[in-house]
Amino acid sequence: MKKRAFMLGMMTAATTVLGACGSEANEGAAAESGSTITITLMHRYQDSNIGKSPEDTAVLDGLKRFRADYPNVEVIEEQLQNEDYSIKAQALAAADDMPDVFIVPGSWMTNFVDNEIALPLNAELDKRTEWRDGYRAGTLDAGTREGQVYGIPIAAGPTHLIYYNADMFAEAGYSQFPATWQELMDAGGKLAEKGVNLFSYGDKSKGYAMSSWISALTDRISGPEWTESILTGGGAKFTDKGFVQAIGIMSDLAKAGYLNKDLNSVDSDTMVNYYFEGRSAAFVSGIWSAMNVVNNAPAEITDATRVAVFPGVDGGLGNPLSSSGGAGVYYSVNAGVQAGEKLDAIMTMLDYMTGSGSAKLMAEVGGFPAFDPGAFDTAKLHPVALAAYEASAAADATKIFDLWFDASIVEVINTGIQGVMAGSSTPEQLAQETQKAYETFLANP
Amino acid sequence: MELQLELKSQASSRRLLPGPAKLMVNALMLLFTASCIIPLLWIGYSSLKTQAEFANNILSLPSAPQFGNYLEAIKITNMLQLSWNSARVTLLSVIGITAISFVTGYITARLDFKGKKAMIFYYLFGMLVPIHALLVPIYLLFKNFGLADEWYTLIIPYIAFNLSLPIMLVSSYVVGIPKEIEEAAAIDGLSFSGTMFRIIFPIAVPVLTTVAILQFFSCWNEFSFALVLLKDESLRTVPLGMSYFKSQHSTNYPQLMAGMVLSMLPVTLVYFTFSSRIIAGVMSGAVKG
Repeated sequence: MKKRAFMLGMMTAATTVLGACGSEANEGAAAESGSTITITLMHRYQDSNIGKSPEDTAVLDGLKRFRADYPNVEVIEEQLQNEDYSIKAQALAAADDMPDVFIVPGSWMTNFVDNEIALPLNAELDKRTEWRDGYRAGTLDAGTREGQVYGIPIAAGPTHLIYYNADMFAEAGYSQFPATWQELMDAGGKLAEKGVNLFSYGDKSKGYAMSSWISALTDRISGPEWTESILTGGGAKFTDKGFVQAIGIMSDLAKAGYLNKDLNSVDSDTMVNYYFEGRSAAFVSGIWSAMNVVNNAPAEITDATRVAVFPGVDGGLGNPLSSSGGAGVYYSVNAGVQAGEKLDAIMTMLDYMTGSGSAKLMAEVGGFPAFDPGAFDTAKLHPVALAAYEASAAADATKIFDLWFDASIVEVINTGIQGVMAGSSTPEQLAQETQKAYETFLANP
Repeated sequence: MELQLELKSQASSRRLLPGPAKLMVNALMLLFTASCIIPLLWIGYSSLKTQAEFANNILSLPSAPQFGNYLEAIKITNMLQLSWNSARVTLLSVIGITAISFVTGYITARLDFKGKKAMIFYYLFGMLVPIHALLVPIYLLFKNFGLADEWYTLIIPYIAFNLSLPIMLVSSYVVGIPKEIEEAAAIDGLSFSGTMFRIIFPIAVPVLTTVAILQFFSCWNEFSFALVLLKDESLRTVPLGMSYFKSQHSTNYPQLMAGMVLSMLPVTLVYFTFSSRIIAGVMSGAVKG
């Protein structure tokens, strides 16, 4: 009996001590800062990437400037790596315990809006029209629901650009990137004779095909109206000619042996490495690969690299110069934040992190900001990065399917395209499966 | 002498496989060994390459060793802080796990009481539930009790989630200890807890060492709870630090590998120091279980 009482006493004492530690620490933090406003921020930009990634560099620079200009605002920041962020944010969202400001990928937005996790920002943005109107056309779209803006975009990188080795194409007899698909297939044959793949391709982390290939290719053929019709349930089908033909083009490239054989089992890092090693003459990727080429490719590869987009398609309805793009991730504000001093500080902070100052810096170091930076200093930019920037600025941004289509449809395409590329199913089969998933989705939205 | 030799060779030829089969088995084992060792060697020498070198050929040897990667890795991750956090959490967790699993394992092995089966099943159940399914409820629990984001936060789930296997191990080990020893102790007037701690504990040291070492690895490498339950960057543990080398679209592999080598050092040290004990302990648990 005595022992039991002793144990109970010990436990109570331990709990009290632990509890005291906790409250002390919290009070200490608040007292030291002496600030009037505290903002909690969780995002996927990290100090360790400053100078390596344009987005991290620009956003964190903006935050630093904000902290210097507003010493009365304390920003409690949590930096996480991309995938870690996804795991943690989903757990916190499920527990309804998101910080004041957080990152929302476009594909989560509907969920976050429906569950009232993100705050509508129109009223705040209307007070800051100059900032709001500075974003590139379409970049706010994936963060907007029923006319209300829920997310502030950061970067708007096109997800489809072709980085190609001009020397290799010159040796094969092409002074510029082939302008038709027929010419491209011919080039593929000539390169194959030399033992070089036309494109390296790496779809291990499913999603690459959709974001860098399918979105842009389908648009070349069917035009943006088809995509709109799919999104609004306006009668377009995945079994329509455009989608099937787009998948068919990809399948033909794989069948002809113009891509690396291990296309489904290597990730995009390896894909780019194949290009660096000279095993392929080109690769398809987003603007983010530009700085990778500049920083990590052997000098002769960097010097020979040029940037292009897919050739147009005969009778295609879309703009042959377009690229899939738009903002992929957004800053959202916690729905629990009330209008007033704090929200005001948050909006100012977001302006610092994504607005004109940050956008200029992002462009200067090789990124493609959602906010139009206007003229910026291109002196420090490598020709490859500049070419990628210019190709991006010239391209009409069409919708990236994985940001817009329902997750159930995205999953079917992501999985199915691997089968098609491996030769175990046909473009028609994939189109039918996708259509089936689409009809199920339409029936139970 | 000759006879002895002949007998020996007869014995060995009876015991072992014929020549070609032996070769095959050995080759297979060598392949397995290589598949474990080569990645480690690869991480080791790749950590000395420049990022461009690594991108150009992921298998080649470094042309000039870049020890700067290690300095960079220590600087980027604040490795000392991470290691200290990991060491503190791991050490305290392992002590907790060993103590609780010893007492529980002993009681389930020796005592019969109502609900014992249910209790064993309950502990077994802990091995079946995937941690990811529990992240959200655990986070809520910790948050509401004010236990999240403290230096001791991780110790609680680490002990709780690492108890199942140790309890089984200790229990099966204790079953193998002759009851007569305890009976003798009882006759000499030793209490129940006295028997447990003064007689059985020294005998169970091998299995407890195994438990401690295995759970040391598991706690040192744990990632999910550390990610979700901690906000304060100064509390982060080593596995979280490895993500500092990745950005959204690229990864600095040589630096990441330098970081990995550094994070593996303590674990490797523990493993090599105690490797004979680990094997002995696991075997003793297995044979008698």
